[in-house]
Amino acid sequence: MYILQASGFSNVSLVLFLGTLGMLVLTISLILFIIFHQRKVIRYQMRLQEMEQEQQKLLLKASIKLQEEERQRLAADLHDDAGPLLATARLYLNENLVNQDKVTQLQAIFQARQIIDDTIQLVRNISHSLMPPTLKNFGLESAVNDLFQKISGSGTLNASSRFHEYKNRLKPEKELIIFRIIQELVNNILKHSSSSFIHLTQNVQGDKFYLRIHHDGRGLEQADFDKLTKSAAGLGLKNITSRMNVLQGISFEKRYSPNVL
Amino acid sequence: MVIIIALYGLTFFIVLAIIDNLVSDEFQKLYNSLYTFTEFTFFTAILWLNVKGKFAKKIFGITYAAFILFQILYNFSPYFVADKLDAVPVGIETLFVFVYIFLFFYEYFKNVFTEYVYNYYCFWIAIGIMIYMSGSFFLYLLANDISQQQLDSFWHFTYVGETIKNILFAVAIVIHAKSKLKEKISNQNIPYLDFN
Repeated sequence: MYILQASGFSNVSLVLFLGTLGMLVLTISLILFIIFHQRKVIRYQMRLQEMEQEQQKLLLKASIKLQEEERQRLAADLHDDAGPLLATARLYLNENLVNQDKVTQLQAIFQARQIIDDTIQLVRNISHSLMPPTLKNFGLESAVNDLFQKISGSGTLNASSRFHEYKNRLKPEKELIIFRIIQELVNNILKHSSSSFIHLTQNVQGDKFYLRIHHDGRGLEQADFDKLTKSAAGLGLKNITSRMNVLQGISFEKRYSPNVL
Repeated sequence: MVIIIALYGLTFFIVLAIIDNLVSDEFQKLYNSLYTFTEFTFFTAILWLNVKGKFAKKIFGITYAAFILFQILYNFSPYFVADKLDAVPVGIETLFVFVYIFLFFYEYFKNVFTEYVYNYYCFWIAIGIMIYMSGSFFLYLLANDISQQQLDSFWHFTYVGETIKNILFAVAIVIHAKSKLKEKISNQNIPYLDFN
């Protein structure tokens, strides 16, 4: 203040004018910065939301498509296999059977029984494909071991699994989701990888449940996975993603190397 | 909120139109102090009502108490004699109000970032206060160090800031009224659901 007084009033006026102008410029700049920065952030958030919604739509479509395919397969199995078998059994057990001789009657009953047994087996197979009984009764470890034994039994490739820590079973719905994911991944390996072996390892660290599927064929990397789930193709992978979304707290390990799914 | 703004407008209309002309020189110091105190109280009340966080409210309370204490000490101290204007309390008032506005924006952006800030009425109040205070800050601060002639010539600039503030307050009232109306209409759209 002493300096200002010493240098005269005109300097004070200049300080006053420039100070006021500076304060106003600062205030207006701050207001404009707040407005434009917020607009920018909101636009970015909206874009992100749109992308997320698009991704959700894709996943939902994939899920619906898969459900429809599953229903069609079930309808085809029942119509093409169970239907004719039961119709044949009905033919053997027609009203004229009472007029036949005993040997023919016994033969017809035997044939009909054989057909009904086949139908029971068929219905059981359909039911198992919907909900594997091993999974329901004995848990994920047994169901996966069972699946891998069946694959090995076919003789095309060697499949093995090892559960390091699975004393406490997960909730049934979680087990089913994980099992379906494993089935889908194994199916992809069988279809696309041309590998000679598949090995599944399970372990738990803290509150995280780890599953690693390892094979020696052509594999997927994280980038391919992300790309395929965002494209129109890759229905199975989209289905995996939508199932993973249901499982909160369980996620894919990001570090992918070739040949590891 | 509208009531407080209306009360603020009415108070300062009476003060500037009537009391300002009646105050004699011996009561000038008291008048200036009361003017600053009333203005600070209104700004504090308006912004205090628009912050929700406990921390911000606590800061408001502490700052307000500190300002009152400072004004008491300032008015009863023989060292501070304001001849034209109470420059120091006005300067402190400006800084405190800027702290309030900073807290208001900090809290607003911490909680809401999905809605445009200019759709919120208090944004217009905040920028009105900011423009008004930053426009007159240097003049009030140097009021006692310049001649009466210079003060008079610069005084007109404060009217610009004050007019902008009043316009922005009017915008805030319109936005507030519109949002209330929208709320009312959206509530009316809900059918009767067996209970109110």
